[in-house]
Amino acid sequence: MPVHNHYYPDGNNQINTIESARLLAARGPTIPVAVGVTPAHAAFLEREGRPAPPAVTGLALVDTGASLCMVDESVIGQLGIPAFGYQNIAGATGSSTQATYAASLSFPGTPIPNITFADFVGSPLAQLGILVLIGRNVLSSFVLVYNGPGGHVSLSF
Amino acid sequence: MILDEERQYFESQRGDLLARCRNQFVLMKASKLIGVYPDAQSAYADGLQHFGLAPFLVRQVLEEEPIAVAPALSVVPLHAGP
Repeated sequence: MPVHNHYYPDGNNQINTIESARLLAARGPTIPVAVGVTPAHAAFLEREGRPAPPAVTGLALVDTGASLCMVDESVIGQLGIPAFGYQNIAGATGSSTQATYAASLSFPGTPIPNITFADFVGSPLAQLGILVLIGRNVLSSFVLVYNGPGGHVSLSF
Repeated sequence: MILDEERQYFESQRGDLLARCRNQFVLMKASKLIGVYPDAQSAYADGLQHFGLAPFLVRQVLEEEPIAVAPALSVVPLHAGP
């Protein structure tokens, strides 16, 4: 089972320190991510003689409190992904119905395999410094270890 | 909202669909059922074949609508789609 350890080293490049624990608490469990079109979408573009748009890279925040995934809304436009569903979403301040979009995820620099199809809603995540929020619909495939005192997280797939 | 026509059509057909294809995935465009599929990926791929990059609806046929929760991001406005 591939395992990825994501560290939050302090200013001296050390982990297991008070500062590395604080950095993990401040930033949350994150992982490098690339969001691209699904293989079916890429195949459609190829048949049309059009190149698939390059994947958009950034950080994904693992959120065990969310039951679904979100992607920064700018990515939907950059990748040209069509809406293919809707989702009723309940939050602390109310509920809404939002369009959903299909995309693929890869995790550059990690051994975690690609996820070729996952559904997302769009949200203005960039203002939080993240590209993707990984919710429990994708986490159902992962084992997640959150080491707060050590200042690192481990993900295996 | 985007996919409003498809959403209304799906709701109007839910009873019949439950009898025909409970737990499977349907592909709809406007007020038309295009096909029934075992998984969302197959329905999505066929949707791209039929409609290209225009919006279409893929929906699992369930008795009750699932409600997702996203408490952490409720402090910012949720995006309602183009």
